[in-house]
Amino acid sequence: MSNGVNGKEPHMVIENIDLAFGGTKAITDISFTVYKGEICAVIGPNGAGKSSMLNVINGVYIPQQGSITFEGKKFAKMKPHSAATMGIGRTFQNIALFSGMSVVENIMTGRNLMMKSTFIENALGIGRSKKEEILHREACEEIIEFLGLQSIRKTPVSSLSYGLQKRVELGRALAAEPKMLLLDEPIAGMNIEEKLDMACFIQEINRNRGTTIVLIEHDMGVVMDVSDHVVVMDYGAKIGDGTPEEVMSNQKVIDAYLGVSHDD
Amino acid sequence: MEFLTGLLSIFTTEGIFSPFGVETVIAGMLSGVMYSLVGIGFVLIYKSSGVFNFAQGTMLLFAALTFVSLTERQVNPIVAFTITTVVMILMGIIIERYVMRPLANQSLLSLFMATVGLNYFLEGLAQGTWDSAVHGVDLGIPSDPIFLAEHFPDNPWFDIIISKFDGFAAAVAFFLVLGLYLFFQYTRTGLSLRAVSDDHLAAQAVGIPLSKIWAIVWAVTGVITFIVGLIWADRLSVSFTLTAAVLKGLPVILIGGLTSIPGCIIGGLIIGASEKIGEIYFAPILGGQGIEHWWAYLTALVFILIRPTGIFGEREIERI
Ligand SMILES: Nc1ncnc2c1ncn2[C@@H]1O[C@H](COP(=O)(O)OP(=O)(O)O)[C@@H](O)[C@H]1O
Ligand SMILES: [Mg+2]
Repeated sequence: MSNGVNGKEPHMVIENIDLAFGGTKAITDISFTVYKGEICAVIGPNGAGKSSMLNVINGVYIPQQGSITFEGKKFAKMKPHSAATMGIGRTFQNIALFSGMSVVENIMTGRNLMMKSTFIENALGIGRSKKEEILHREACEEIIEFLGLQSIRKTPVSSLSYGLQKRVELGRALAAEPKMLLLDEPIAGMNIEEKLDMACFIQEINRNRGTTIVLIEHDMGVVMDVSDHVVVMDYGAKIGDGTPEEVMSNQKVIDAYLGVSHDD
Repeated sequence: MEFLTGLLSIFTTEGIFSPFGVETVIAGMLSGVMYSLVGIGFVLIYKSSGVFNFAQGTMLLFAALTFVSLTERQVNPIVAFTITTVVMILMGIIIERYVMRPLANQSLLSLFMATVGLNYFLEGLAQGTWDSAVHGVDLGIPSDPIFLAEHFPDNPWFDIIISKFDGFAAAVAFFLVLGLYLFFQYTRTGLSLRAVSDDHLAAQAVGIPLSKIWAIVWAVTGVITFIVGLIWADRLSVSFTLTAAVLKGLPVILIGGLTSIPGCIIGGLIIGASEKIGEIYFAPILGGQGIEHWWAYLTALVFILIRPTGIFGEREIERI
């Protein structure tokens, strides 16, 4: 895809974020910019603070310092619910599906923000609620088809394989029609075939819907293939930022990757 | 020795396997529905908010007392019912705003302590607004028994007496549970509710507003608690002892698990049956006054030993 770093409009600007848990620093003075429509990979060894960074972006963790500017609006802290409202969707490193629900129900929860009918209309099945219901079912079916989940649409998610669960979680995030997707290790722990499928889905979402994607990934092959922009973290600090090629020739990055084991 | 033979004789065709024994079990199960009804309030709050609501009993008393006090002041019962319903809805919204929301990211213990505080606050409010006298309530629920034998004269197995009151309570429970089921399964709010009860973090990440869901759950629970309170009040009359109705709900959720409404129903049936069996068969050989105070808890204890999470209980819910 196009080169995100050069000449593109910023989608999200992260400035001087500091995050500590009690005495331990998880993130130290991190700044980077995610550009509109790009795939930005955040890489780094385990414990580098990548997940914490995503958690700051969507308001799960509140940073001690710094700010996030999303689509021109600046925040000192975000709230999970308002992040979603503004169009930030996400998946989690440890799958966080609604385990008591089927595939289609999980994806349907992603439509929540799009639904305008009130609680009363909804409880009584009157007013806008019927028409809305049909519309949103259709949107969900589209996603189900896109991700190839038709045959398991009614299956309880808890009985699905790890790879499929990750796919359903992506579908749920997608259902909210986010402008930016934060994906925490969407490919980790999968077999080769599942990895390829997932990488394809991510690229297609980016290309066809124009969704900006921030992606945490360990698999360097995949990162080099799909991303326009790479941010490298180590011990809570940023040690690299640029195109995949630039980052790969960065001595600090090479040292970090040779020096520290980073199995998942 | 005498004790043992007494104990064994319970499990014979002279004991609970006789027509009379079966009658005892059925009547017990029916009366247990009243306990299930109390348990449902706990389950709804726990599922959504992850907290054991210490104030459940006082909410029940507050609602029943409000209704009774209004009718005693010559307010038409239907109007009184409507007013109390609105009061309980408002209470739910207020509790969300001033108890749940400020404590959203605090520890579970602080949240629990907040419901303890809420309990004493509501207790004061109930007695301050109304009074602490004993109020009789008659909703006109019939309490005379039905003799099934009259309808099946030749069959000793139908020599069963059922209390109409228990039948009424069972019908209320049936419609409440059916309503809740339809609501949870087939409405968007129900779906959001299930999402919140499953995973707070993921629910927020898809844009489900926790505070709105909490307000709805507390309001709905308040109204259900009111209806359940009315039925209990008809049986016990309204006074401070009405909060003790909740003590009958505890063993039910111990058996059924804090997270399951079907578990609650089954827990109630088990406790009810066990209480009747205890009262009729075990009390005499245990030399038995006062067995009704602890028998339900003993039953629950036995079940906990067998299955610590309750029949339908899920793993411990983790709050983030
Ligand atoms: N909720 C938390 N409480 C305390 N420490 C945490 C928490 N979340 C993350 N950390 C710590 O922050 C550091 C970064 O973790 P994380 O962001 O998960 O790294 P990564 O995703 O890069 O593997 C680690 O040292 C981790 O132990
Ligand atoms: Mg991580």
